[in-house]
Amino acid sequence: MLEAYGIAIATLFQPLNLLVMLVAILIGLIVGIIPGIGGGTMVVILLPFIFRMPPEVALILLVSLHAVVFTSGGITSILLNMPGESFSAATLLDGFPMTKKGEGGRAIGAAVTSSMAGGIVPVFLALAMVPLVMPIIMAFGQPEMAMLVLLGISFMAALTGGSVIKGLISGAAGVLLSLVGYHFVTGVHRFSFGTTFLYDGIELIPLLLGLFGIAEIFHLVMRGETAIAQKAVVKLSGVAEGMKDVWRHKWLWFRSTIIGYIVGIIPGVGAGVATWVSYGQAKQTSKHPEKFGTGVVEGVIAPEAADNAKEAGSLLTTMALGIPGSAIMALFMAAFLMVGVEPGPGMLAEHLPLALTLLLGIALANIIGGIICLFAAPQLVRVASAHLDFLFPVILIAALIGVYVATPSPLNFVMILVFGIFGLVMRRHGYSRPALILGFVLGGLLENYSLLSIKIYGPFFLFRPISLTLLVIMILLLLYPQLKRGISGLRGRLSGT
Amino acid sequence: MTKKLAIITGVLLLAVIIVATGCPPKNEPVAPAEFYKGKSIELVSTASPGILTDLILRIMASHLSGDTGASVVVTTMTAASGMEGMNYLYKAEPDGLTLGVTSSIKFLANKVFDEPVAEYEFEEFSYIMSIGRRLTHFFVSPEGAYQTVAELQAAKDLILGATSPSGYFTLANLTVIKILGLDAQVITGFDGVSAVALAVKRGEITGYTVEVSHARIEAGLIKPIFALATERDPLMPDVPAITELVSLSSEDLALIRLWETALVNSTLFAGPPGLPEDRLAFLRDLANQWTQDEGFRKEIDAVAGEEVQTYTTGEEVNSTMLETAAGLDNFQAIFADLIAKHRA
Repeated sequence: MLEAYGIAIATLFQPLNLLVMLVAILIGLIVGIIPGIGGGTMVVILLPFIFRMPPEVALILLVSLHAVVFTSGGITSILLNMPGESFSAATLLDGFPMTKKGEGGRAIGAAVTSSMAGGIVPVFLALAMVPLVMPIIMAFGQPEMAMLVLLGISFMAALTGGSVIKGLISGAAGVLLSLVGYHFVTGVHRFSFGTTFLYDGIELIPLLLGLFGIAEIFHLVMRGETAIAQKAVVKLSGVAEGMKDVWRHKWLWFRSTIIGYIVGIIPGVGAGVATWVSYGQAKQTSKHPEKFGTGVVEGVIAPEAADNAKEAGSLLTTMALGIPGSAIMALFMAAFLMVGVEPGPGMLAEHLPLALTLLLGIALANIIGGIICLFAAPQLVRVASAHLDFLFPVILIAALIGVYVATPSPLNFVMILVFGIFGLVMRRHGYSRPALILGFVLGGLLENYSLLSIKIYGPFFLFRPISLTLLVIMILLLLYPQLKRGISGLRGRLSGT
Repeated sequence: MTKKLAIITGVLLLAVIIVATGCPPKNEPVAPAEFYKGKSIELVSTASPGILTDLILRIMASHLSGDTGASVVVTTMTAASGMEGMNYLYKAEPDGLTLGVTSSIKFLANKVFDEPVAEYEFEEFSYIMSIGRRLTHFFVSPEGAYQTVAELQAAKDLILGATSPSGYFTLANLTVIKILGLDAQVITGFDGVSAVALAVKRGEITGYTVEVSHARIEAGLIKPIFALATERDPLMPDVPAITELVSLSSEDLALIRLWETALVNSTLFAGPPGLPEDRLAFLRDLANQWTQDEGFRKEIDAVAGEEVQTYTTGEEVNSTMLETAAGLDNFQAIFADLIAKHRA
């Protein structure tokens, strides 16, 4: 094993491999920042070029690029209220309010540090986790998946903002939107009007960019604002404050990393679950849950850690079992095959030095990418104080490019505008856009897993050990603030008597 | 006067030179090899990025560009399980500048289920070549209760898994249920083939019918019981063909042959209906040359993860599709009956 580590380190630090890694990191960071374009798009573009590359060079290129997309992905959410990639949506809930308060640098510092560490630590857990991957995957059948998704949805109450009723209406609207399209359990076409455009349902990217980014710009322009934030911290000290925040909330970061990692290991749960569950548990276990959504740093730390950690978990399942947990991991599977490495149980035995090179490569890419982001943060924050006359067209064009790359249909341009207006109306009348997104992302999954569970196990699918455990965790988390208040009150009364 | 004449002569001469060199008469036929030079070919992908079909398309794109001198632009149209791309290709101008690559199984399954969104007739496309012949097998869990056909036939309330109710897996499962006379239902909605394989491994469902995946077999998730074919798969020589295990009626045998020909999973390279004969012949020639090229074959093998044994010419694919179309009503009736039973 030590010899394999030695080979891996030597391979990683070869000048060519380091150079490839640096180029990949720069591409990955830029791709992560551009709204709508995820790492998957770049991997697709690079796939035909890796044929003639040595396996280690090709795979270092791809994993380094992918590793840092999540590190920089949160920056656009924080500064512009536009998720850089679809899973950064939870970060904007508190990240953008921090920017508006002039704490953009601190938010970026916290997001990048949390994401970077969230991407590094699981790498070192990976080999120890290998024997546990299969039992974890086997333990999560359709009922457990349904409960895990329900756990994520249960945090809708935590995202309702001022009015619980309006929050629930928003969440229900999200669930309704997720129902559009061909239903793969029942075979029914729902509101797709016989078109190919709506056959697969409404796309997430135009919904996200319209609902948050475009709506926010509309709102600022209509209010006569000239910039997102009038004062923007442009010192490294602000960024350093964010880094310290992660240390201050190290247990929150740790919990979120573990949540992301475990969710990443289980194929099919959906990346959205990791970030939303992390955000929800951060709020429910916070000493000041009422401040979430107004710009608290914990609301940035939790989703960012989970977002990056889940990718490490997902890559582990792909390498160790040959089961791609997500669309991007299917691309990695293809890349492995293209360079002559077959993912699966044999990979860690036959290609251990290569597997270690990739794992250590992820860690190194996260460190380098994170440092670049932290040093660039003071300059990036300036974007928030740029005049809207300049910023609006740039954001609009970036959003349209992002939408077109992610979902190349001109009709999505109409969708982004429609959702932009819808988002503006929701914002003006106090309806919760995060609750809508949560309903949209997890509603369809909950429906699918519940229906499959009922078909396979019957109506009592909940009465399985892990399902019940998850149900209990969900109830405890929802009641945690009340329980905590009750216990404190009881302690106070006891100490008073 | 002489000056005027000189100018007129000069202008006329210039016009003649321009016409002679730069502007060939409109109706003059251009050899396909010349036609493509400097042009742009749109290559439509109906498969999601990273899927085998899409990876093969990207290899083809690189060879097509190199061999024709045209720039090749890949357009991904995956909406409605790829039907968006197939519709687009079907309606495209048949000038040879719009071509497409798709998975063969999508074509027919959509027509069998009479998908309203499928606006094409599969037998009318101009087929250029087909790559691969991934036979369909029936899989169970290696630790499951049912390891033989006899055990499956004796069992009650079996569950077979699939992704889409109107897809290839469902058709394959229904075929197995019919041929073996199983007491089984098909449950759909699993998020991809890996999810079905994991459900099999967990014991949530009994099995499923799909093409071979060596990775999943080696990971111990699934175990093949038989090939839905009349002969063993050369890539899985230890697994019997279904015809070795049960005796089949002529109708069932015809169904099995359908799974070996039109419904066999392969990657089709095609143009829209009505592609000019000379351009179709040129593209077919190119494709045939690729199949002789060691480098091309190695690249295809690399993305397929195994040695791809079959390259079928466009002419052969065309005749298979025409044959299938001729018998489609019969197959549709058989499957319609099965689907109706299944839904009931």
